[in-house]
Amino acid sequence: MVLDRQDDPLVQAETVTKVIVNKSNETTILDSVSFTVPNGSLFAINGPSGSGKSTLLNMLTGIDRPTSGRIVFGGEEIRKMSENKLAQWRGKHVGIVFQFFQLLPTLTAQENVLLALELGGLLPRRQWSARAKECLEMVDLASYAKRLPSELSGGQQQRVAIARALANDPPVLVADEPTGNLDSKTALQVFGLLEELTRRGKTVIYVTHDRDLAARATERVDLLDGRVVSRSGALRMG
Amino acid sequence: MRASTVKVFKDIFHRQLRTTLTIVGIAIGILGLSAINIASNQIRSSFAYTSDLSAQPDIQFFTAPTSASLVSVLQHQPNVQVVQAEGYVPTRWTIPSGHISLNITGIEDFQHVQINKFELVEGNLPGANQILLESSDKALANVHVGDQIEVSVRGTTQKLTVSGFARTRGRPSSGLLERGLGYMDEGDLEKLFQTPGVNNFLFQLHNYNQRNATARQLAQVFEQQHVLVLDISVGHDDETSALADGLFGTMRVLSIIAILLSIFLLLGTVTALVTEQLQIIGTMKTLGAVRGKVMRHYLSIVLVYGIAGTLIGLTLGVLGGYLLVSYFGNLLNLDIGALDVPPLLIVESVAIGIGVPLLAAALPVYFGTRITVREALSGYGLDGGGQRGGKWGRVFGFLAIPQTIQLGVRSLFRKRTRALLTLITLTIAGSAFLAVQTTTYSFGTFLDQVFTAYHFDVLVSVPNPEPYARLQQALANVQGIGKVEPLIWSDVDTQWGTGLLTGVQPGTQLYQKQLVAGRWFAAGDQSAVIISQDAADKSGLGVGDSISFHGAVSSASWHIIGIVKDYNGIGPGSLGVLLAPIAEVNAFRRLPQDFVQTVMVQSRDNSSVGVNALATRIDTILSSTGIQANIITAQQQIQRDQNEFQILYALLYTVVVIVALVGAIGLFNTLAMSVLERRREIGILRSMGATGRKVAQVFWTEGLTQGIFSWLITLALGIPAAYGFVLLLGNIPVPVPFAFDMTNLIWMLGFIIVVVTIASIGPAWGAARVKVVQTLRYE
Repeated sequence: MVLDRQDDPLVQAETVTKVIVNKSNETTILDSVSFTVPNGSLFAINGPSGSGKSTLLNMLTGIDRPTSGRIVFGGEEIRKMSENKLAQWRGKHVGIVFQFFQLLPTLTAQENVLLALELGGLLPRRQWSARAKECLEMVDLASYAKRLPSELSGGQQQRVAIARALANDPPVLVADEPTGNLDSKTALQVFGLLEELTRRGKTVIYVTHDRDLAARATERVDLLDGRVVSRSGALRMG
Repeated sequence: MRASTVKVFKDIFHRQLRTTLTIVGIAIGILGLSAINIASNQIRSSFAYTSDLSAQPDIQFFTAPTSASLVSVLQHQPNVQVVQAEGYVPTRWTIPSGHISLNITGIEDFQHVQINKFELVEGNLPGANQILLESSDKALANVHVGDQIEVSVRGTTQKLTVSGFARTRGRPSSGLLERGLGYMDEGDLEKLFQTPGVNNFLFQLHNYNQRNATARQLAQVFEQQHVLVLDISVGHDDETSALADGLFGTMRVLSIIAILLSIFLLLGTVTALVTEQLQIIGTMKTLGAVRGKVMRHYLSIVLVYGIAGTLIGLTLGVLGGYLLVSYFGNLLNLDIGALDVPPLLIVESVAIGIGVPLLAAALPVYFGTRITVREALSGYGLDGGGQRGGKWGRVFGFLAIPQTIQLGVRSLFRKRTRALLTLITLTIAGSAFLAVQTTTYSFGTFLDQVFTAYHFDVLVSVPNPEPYARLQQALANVQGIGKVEPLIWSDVDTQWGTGLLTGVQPGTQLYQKQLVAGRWFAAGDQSAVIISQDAADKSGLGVGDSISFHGAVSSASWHIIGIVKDYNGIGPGSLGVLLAPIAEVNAFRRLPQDFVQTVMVQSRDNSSVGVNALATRIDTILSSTGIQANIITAQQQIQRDQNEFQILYALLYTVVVIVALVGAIGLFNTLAMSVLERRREIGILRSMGATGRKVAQVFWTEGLTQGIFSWLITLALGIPAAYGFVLLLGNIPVPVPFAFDMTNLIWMLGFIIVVVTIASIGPAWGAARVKVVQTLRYE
């Protein structure tokens, strides 16, 4: 990716549409959604259940493909990439944090981070261990490195997931309801972590249905029934 | 160690039961294959060394006692290379459980035995009043060097000291033949049994292919010398080798079936593994893993399974091979030597044990890992299959079947590929069970039928043909005899195989005339023969045709006047029975008209106790008159024939156990995966009030549905498979008619239900123990 981190939009969505076709009917999940995500922003995609926010997030990370429209991520159009290419691209450019953590249950916290380093392939092997430790320290879990996910609380698991997402030092973190499965106190702690990352130069895009969390974004877009109903913050159209 | 490598081993040890069962499945296949390969390789080598056909006679004449000087005349006959004359006495050896037949050969010069060579393996050559026993005689009685044994001599018993043990090349085990062999000094033998001269002439020829013509020539010489020939044997006995080959061939087929089942098991396991980890696959792809990397991960797991299974299977296979070698070596009286494991056999086992699982797993791994991230992360619960099960809802609703049972049945259609694999495995298991049951039933039915044509209670056989009058006179003193009839058997060669020329009295009452065509013998019939149904089927001959056959010294062409049902004389390369009046058979064999070798006896008291008591009385009377006869009741004969098949039955039922085990493992995997995938559904059921038992019932029903479907398929496929199996196995001992017992279908259903229930216990119990709170929350 070639960016001017301060000024260029990091992500551009242009008339993104997603239609699901069943035997009996067609369902439009997203309808001509367009927006841009500035570099270094804390960007919220907000909306009620069923508004299409997770689907939109999946489009941005290449997990899902739009029926029509374009997604340009760091100057690259990702829609045309093959599955394998997308996987490799994700490993290098995007760190994903899921609502339900999606840690590998048989690997320890440290091993989950090491796996991301191995799959990303950006660092030489001899640096993996140190980098994993560094990522866990960033989320204050260095002392829990040898614990299995089942031995960690929800908040700790989510922090490990964030550490894993940071392993390859991606410019962007994408989080789908990162606090959706946490109690309010822990949720604030985890969200605070994400805010801190933007201060360190990361761009964080997150999906939330929580208005309060959405309000803390520097930029946001609101969806309803698959359409953009409002935007706020210093947005520029692509 | 890389995290991905750590994951491989953690995935292996995370599901220990599944890992264990998968490795066991692979190990079983490799164990069977390697043990059979090692054993058959060693047996064949040992057999080739030990049988040493050059040590066997090409022709053998059993005669009335005559002078050994005849050897010089015989030696000068065309094509004769070596002549060896021996005294030969069939007698009986008293053992704790009764007595058994013992054939004693008198040897003039133990250092210059040229035919039927033997090696001294223990003790010494015999001196006066001593006997050298065949080493495999130990299978008949517990006897050691220095022991004294009792043998029947002219109506009394005499004691002989065992000087040692020998191993005669090419002679099957005494346990298998159920008769012993011993060697004595020829002079000692003559003195003890008062049998002057020699009565057993063994020949080795320059040109083996001329053996029949040479045998006829030699018979003429005996006739010219006024020596009565009682029996002739032409050619070598390679039945044992053929038997061993056939047995090992069948066992190899069975071991390949076991490996095929292991493949199906592995397919199910790998499919289950990949399905279980779909979300993890999705997560790995979000972290940057390309499909090839994910595939390599799961194939690495299979590689570890393969290596572990091969190591275990090969180790046990070598041990199993050793046990098989020892067992068959003992049975066939072979000098086995040290266990030899050819490197090529190990390479083959390793290649199969590792390569086959990888190849088998490649397909499910390939298809399983093609899932997109979105699909993989879409969560637990009913997925896709719910639609497939929809139309069944209308059927079940109409039938008012409870919802929990409906759930179990409909879930079968959720994962069609997995269900199909399990179905195939269960069908193979059911078919194997049916094939084995049908085979044992066919063999049992055949054995019951073999002697239906012969209505005797006791069969009395003498080693060499004797005047019937002598036997009749001896039997006249036995109380409880109803009827007595003579019988004589002789193997003859035809263009369709070996026929059993059977001499009966034309007015027989003990031979059941089960005519299917033509007529029985009438007065005035000459050169007339009645053939068995098998002989008619194989030769294509019928009433009115002529059949040509030849013995060692005679040839004939007789016209067929009838066809009967008679299952005697069936075997590999056999034609069947050729019935003729006993006088005509004796004339063909150039025996006196009144000579017989077998007598059928019918008892007045045909209860089991009465027959056994009669057999004992006959034995006592005959031995007191110096007649060494082999006496067996009809029931004992059937039991003996059945015992010959015991090893076959043992092998077959072992295979059934193996296929049942693999079938159960396959279904276990399927149900375990079903439980795992439907944890949320289970939680919802429990939250609505379903007890653990109800939840277990859902999964047991799923397993049972699988079982019933496989039973239905086996009904269609299993019977032809059973037929083929009976045909295949019949080539080992005897080809038997296919007989099918309909109740086996019920037994098969029972068998499948047992397999299903065993396989369902674990998953159903696991489902019943699932806590609601765990299932309604993602892990």
